[in-house]
Amino acid sequence: MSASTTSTHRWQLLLGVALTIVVALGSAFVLTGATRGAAPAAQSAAAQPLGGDCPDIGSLVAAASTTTASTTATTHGASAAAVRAGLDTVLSRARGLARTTASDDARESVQNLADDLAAYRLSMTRPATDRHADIAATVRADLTALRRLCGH
Amino acid sequence: MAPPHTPARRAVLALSTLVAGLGLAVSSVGAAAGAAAYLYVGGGGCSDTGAGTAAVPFCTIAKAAKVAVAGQTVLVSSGTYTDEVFPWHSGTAGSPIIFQPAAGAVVTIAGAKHGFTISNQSWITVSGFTVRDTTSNAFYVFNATGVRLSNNTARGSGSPVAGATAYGMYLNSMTGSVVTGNLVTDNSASGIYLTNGSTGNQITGNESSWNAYGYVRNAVGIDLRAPGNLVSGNRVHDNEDSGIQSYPGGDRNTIVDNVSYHNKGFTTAALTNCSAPPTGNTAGCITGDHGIDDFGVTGSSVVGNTVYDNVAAGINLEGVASGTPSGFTFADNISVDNAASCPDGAGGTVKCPRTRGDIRVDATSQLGTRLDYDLVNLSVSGTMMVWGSTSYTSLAAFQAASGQESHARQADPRWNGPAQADFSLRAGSPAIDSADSGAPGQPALDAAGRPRVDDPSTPNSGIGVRSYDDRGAFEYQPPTTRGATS
Repeated sequence: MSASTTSTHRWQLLLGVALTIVVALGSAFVLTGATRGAAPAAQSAAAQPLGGDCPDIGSLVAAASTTTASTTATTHGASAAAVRAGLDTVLSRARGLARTTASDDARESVQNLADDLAAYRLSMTRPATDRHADIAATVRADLTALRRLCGH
Repeated sequence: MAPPHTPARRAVLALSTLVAGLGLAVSSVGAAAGAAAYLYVGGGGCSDTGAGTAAVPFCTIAKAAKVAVAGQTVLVSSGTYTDEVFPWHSGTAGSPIIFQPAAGAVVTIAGAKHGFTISNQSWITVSGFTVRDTTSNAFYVFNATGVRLSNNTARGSGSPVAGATAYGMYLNSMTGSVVTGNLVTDNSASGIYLTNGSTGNQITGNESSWNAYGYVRNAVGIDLRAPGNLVSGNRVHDNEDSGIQSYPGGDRNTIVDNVSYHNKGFTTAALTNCSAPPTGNTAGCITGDHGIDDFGVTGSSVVGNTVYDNVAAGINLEGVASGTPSGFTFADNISVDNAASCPDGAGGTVKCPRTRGDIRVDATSQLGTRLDYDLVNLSVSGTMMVWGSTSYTSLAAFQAASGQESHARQADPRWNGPAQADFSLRAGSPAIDSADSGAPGQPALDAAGRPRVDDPSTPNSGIGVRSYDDRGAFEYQPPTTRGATS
């Protein structure tokens, strides 16, 4: 083996060691970053601006307003069944949006609406009572909160 | 052409692989094993670009929350902080991440959006902070397990304006967690709110009071929209609506040893669901509602609670679907003077405006509901019990008509000082040694954490594994027992 060949092999060996250390350090960095990276994902999700949700929220608010406005103390029989069916649809949409939104603010406000719509639907069995009036007022407050959330 | 693998090159490759492997191993465990036990926040010489050591602490709790990992405790020096605390990592069951004031420190977080937001992170403990005047909920938890919120104060969150209200503690999809010893007061929505499948949690020993929306009568002390939680030993009072409320979604909760009193008030604000008094200040509103309210839920136990002086029926069950067994048990409660008199806003009193009775079960909720061993009383004449659509002015009349409450008692419970919210029992109380210790959820300790005691001067008339449990939230401690246990 010539001296030049030996020298080349030494350089190759040194290069190999250097590359290996770089790879090892890189792996360590990536792993450390990955550990922390999961959290920033959550962080950014929680801090997610809700602008992207506002069209869905606006549509939901409109549907909920229409549906709950159609209930009165004299809503009985077929009209009550129709209102309940409408409420089921709106309730399903609210629960779905509460699950899918990346915004904590939107999630909370939509969840509140879903919770109160469930109570509202139940209170329709007693539309002339204080309970129904109380829950209706709460739903209205939820809708106001959602409108304000999206700057409406 | 690549050179052949000589022995030397193979040795280098093997070494390289070993180094890489070691690097991976070290990096994967370094965060937990190599982390300092404590991170420090606040005080002189602080820097958020440092390492959070005692010598150079972080300036903000938020910075500590960003870097803290399992097993680390964040110690915060006295002061008022304005940052929102948002943990970036989870702890583990055996090594939670803990946030707490340093020894002797008083720490307030004020003016942030939230005080603590625990979102998609688990095994986090927050203990001993005061969070006030946040623009949103003081504490917000989402999709987390193993959270512990203890001995904090959540005060003044949000504003009493539509769209700007906020809860003291908003707990969404929180499981297997503990909320204990907190003061949750004067918030602009309900004090503690559990929703969206939050289950397996313990809500114990908290005080939730004076919570009010201010424009709609809706703020509850503890609001349950989720199933399967223990709500025990809490004091809920002076809220704008009910003390404890279970609404659709809030099935199969165990509500025991709580004290719910004086959820009653008067406001001159125009509430949208106002109950104006017929005389006095007729332009104002009577606020407050039930002591414990269950609407459209099934399978819960309401046992051993003390309920006093609320606006509407003290313990209320209504709205169970017709034909569906409620699966509710009411037992060992003391419920007194509910819906008995309400403020007229001009220094006088009027009849209370909504439902009546110390205990009320509406017409669709009777099926599968069991009541026994309760103690009820009214200091003025009025409705004692409601069963279906019928009101009864005495327990005896209710017992005869309903077949329920065969071991109930109608009597003055002989509290030490209800006007001072002292609901401990005096000697000779008819509540002593007369409860059903086998009632579902009846705890071995009372609301003050004291053991059940057999009062030697009272014959035991209770049943179950202990025939000497007392009714209500507090166990009478006879003088000799006090001496023996002190």
